[in-house]
Parts: sequence; structure tokens; C-alpha cells
Amino acid sequence: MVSSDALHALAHPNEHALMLYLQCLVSILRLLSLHASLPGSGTVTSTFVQSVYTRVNEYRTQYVEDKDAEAEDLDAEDFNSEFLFTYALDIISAMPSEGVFLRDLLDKVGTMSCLSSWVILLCNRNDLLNVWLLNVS
Amino acid sequence: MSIRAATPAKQAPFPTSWHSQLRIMDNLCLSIKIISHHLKQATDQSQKTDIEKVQTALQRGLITFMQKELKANGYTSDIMAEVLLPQDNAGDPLASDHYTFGILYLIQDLLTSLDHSELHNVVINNTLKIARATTDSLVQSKAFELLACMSRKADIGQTTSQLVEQCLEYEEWPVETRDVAAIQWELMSVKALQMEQYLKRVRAESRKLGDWAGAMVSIPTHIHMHW
Repeated sequence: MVSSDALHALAHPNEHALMLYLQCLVSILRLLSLHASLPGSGTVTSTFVQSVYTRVNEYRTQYVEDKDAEAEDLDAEDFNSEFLFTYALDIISAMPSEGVFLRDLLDKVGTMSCLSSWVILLCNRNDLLNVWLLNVS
Repeated sequence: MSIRAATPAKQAPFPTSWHSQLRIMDNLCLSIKIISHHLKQATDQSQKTDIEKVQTALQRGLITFMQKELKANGYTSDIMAEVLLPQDNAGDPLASDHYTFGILYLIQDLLTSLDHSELHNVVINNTLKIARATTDSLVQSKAFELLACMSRKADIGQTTSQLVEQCLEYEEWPVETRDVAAIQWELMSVKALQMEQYLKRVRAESRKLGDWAGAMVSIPTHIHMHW
């Protein structure tokens, strides 16, 4: 739905069609986001995430321009579509990618590194080690 | 008067401070949808009882979450209390309005697909209070849209409509505010009907497409015979 010109394929989409499309888009992104965060299910590349974001953002820009151009003809403004565009972009931004995994890994390494420094320090100071072990037990 | 005329210029894009909270709520709504689906499919009574317990827990969790978030954004959390006006110290008012809009959106999306439950009553009460208390037309029109969708439901439709009619008579509103609210309710009622009809048409068309695709992929009898 995102990689093809789905929005453009809907020639002059009415608000209902657009909203249905956006609801489907949000559902798919949510599913993709869930799938990507499951262990062993592979990784969504940041390049892919970026391209999807760019595409949806282009759709939104186009939508806002079209809406502004037709503003005089609108009977009722629909904020739902605008909200759904924003929400879709937000889900994409929060989607785990290899960058996130790398950052998590570095955090874990950093934590381990800090811990190992403390262990070395404690091993060198038997008195502190005894106090610590006493507290732990 | 159109909604556009009744609505002050909005500021896009929406801020991002509340997005993570909204995603949590979205996940909760999704869980309720999944559990409701399993409840409909369940045949074993003991299994049904277990699923119902989970459903109740999830619904209460959603109510607690929603009321906590609404309270944090300046709306009352006590459904039995009288209407409170939004607090002045509720943080960025624009972010607060957009977040409230998001909450109402998710709740509307959830309730439209569910059978009547305690959740519906709580939400309708809260939404009526939001419609009365908010000073933002965007949030107010969304509240009326949610109520309009509820008024289309067979089990609670009539009661909802009556409650909205009472809300529109809210005596503390100035005449202009009452007029705008009445227009919003009317437009949102029409919109809910149009959306319902549109979805019916789409479903019918997709069924036709499904039948057509099914006929295309089914193996002709005479070929089957040769096998």
C-alpha cells in the first residue's frame, strides 16, 4: 500500500475512501511494527523505514495541498485523515530498525562494561566486596 | 455554517509529546478487539468464562487509562461528578487537544466494532462531558462524531441521541456556542450515516470481487475428472 502509488491510484478520492485507506495503512504499519520487534522475525532496515516515512509524508503534503485548494468547497472538515496521517508517521518513526537494535546492543554493552568496572573495583577492594556481598545476600 | 467556519485554524503537524501514550492505548484497544473476537469464537463454557474475565480486566484497564489521561489533560475523571471545565494548568493546550482527539479517535474505532458493554456507557458519559467542557472545536466535533457513531448502534442508539439532545440544551453555553454545537452534531450524524453506507458498499463490492476471484481460481470440474 505504501510502495505503490496507492493514494494516487484513488483518482480524486473522497474523504471516506481516503479514511478507509489510511485506516488500513495504520493497521498494516502497526502489524509491521509488531512483527519487526519479534525475536527471530528479521529486521526492518532503516533505509526501508525511511523510504516508507518519506512516501507517507509526501502523501500527507499532497493531501494538505489538495485540501487547502478545495477549502471553499468543503462542507465539513475532516480531521480524522489528518490525524491518521500523523499517527501513521508516528508509528513509522517508532518502528524498530537495525539502528534501534544496534543502539540497544550498545546500551547493553555499555551496562556490562560499567558492571565489569565495578566488579574489578570490588575485587581489588576486599572490604568493599564483603560489604556488597553481605548486602546482596 | 460549515464545520470549517465553526472551527478555528488548526496548527499542523501535531506535536509528538503524547504519541507514546497513544500507542499504549492503541495496543490496549487492539487487545480488547482480539479478546472480543475470541469470545465470539469460543464454544466451551469454561473457556468463555476465562475469556470474559480477561475482557473485563482489559476494559477496566482501558477505562482507568482513558480517565487518567483525560484527567491529566484537564478533563474530569469521575463519571459521576458534575462537569468540570478544562484546567488552565494542563500543560500545552494544543498538545492536550490533539491528544484528546486521539483518545476519542481510538475509542470510537474500538466501540464501533464491539457489542454493548459497560465500556460504552462510561465512554458515552465521558464524551458528553468532553463535548460540553472543551473549548476546542476540533475536540468537540470529534466528541460529537463518536456520539453520532454510537447513535447509529441498534442497542444504545436511541439513548445516546437523547443524551446528546439534552447536552445541546446545556444552559451555561452562550447561544452561539450552542448553535455551533448543534451544527456539529447534525453534520457528524450525517457523516456517520454516510460512512456507514460507504462501508456497506465497499463490503458488497469486496464480496463480489471475492466471488469473482474464487471462481477464477477454482478448478473446473471436467479438468478435475481427468485427474
